[in-house]
Amino acid sequence: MIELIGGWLAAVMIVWIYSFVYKDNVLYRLAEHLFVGTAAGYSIALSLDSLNRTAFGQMAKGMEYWHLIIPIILGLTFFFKYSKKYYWIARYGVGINVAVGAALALRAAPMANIIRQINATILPLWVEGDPLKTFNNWLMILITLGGLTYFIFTFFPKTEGKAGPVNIVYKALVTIGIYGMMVGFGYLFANTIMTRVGFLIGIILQYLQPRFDATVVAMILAIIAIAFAVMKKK
Amino acid sequence: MSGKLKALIAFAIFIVLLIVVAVSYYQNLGIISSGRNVAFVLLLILFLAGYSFIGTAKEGKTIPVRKIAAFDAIEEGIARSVELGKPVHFTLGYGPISTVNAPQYLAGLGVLGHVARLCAKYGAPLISTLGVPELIAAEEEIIRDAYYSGGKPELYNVTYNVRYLTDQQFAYASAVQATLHRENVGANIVVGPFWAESLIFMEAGAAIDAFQVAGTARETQIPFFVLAADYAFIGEEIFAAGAMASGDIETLASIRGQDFGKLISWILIVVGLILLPVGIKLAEYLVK
Repeated sequence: MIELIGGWLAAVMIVWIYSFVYKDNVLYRLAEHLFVGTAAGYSIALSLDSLNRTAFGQMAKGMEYWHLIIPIILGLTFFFKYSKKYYWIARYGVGINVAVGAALALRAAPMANIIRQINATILPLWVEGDPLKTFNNWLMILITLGGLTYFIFTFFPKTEGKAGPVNIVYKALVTIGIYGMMVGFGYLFANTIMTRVGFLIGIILQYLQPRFDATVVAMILAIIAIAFAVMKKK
Repeated sequence: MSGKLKALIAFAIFIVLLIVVAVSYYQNLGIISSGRNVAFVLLLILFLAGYSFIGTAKEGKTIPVRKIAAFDAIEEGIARSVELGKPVHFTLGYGPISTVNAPQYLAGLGVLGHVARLCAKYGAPLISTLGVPELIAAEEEIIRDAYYSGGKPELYNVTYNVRYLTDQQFAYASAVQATLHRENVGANIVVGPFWAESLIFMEAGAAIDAFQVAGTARETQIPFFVLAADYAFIGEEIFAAGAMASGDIETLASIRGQDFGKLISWILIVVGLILLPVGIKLAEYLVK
């Protein structure tokens, strides 16, 4: 019985969420609000569980975990946002959270974003007997140098827009960088769309096809809801 | 403490850390992970460069920034919204802030400040949706300050301006697209770290003919913004935009520090390419 209800609910909600593709309607709103409300409730449950497991649960084991009180206090500072006088205290919690994230990003940056990228770009400019490899290497080097030049924001030729060898090289590199990126974006776009279509087929096969009756009922209801929305607008 | 003394202390710390790297490398002490000595030295150089640029910026030296089309387009979008009598929408993403995406959320906040100031200037109502619970207070403060300092306190209504939705991806995405439609926004500005929801936002904005400016530093999502938005910040442009928008000279100086790192990379690639034909493999030295 629970499986049947679950199957119906999944199929109906999917169809109603998809109904937004044509027009906003009352059934989309119902599905959306259920989705957002459930997600918010789920987040609260997850947060409380995480707090219990990683903080209070550990602290209950003994004094060796006393330091966990620090993040708890920092978390509590968030509630000062409701005070007109002491709202500034909430900034400390936010600030430390942001700093942790920035430090995490920084830890791996020199190796992953700089050294490995440099190493991957130092390629032979001439490969004996393999013109395609030579062409690929040139392409890789020029696009990387062009991309790097494009993303340098505060160092650029001061006589930008005027003629001169520095400006010509700068402009050429930036152009190569932009075109190279666009080709890369095209590939990424096509790749992602292919994956998304795969998801859509998966949804149809996993949820809609097994509960064909629910899908048809949900579609009829969605068409009625959309018709009402159109009439209301007129 | 005077500026010179601070610089001296920073330089002394730099030298001490360099000595630590050298001793660790030659004595195999294992203080720094194997193969990361050059990366660590590079990080120190970038710290010192950033510190030095911040110092010179504080002394009044201006930092030129190249034109970023998407940044200039924000004002155009807001002005268009006002002409049409529609509100402006901004969102910076969802999820926890203490992750590697924190710099992108900060860049988003910088751009939000700029958007809010422009909304105050033109008298446009601003709706900011978000799925980052830690940033609710920061957003409220930014928008309140912008409207009050812009002489439009009547436009500040916290429940209207700042809408926390949820930190679950697709629930947040469905609520954002619904907000775009129901509020019939005139400009949709999307800056921060985004995942699969990026195209959903762009499609929803395009369906209501909103003027769209979007940006993220997440490579897999940039194509969607480039394709579907009127103007897009490509990758690191969001950090430069965040710094420009904040108007904070120190943040701008830190962008110059990052640029210095890119210049070093550029030079190392060219040097590596020159040395390769003579049998010297720079790549091997970099991972020692």
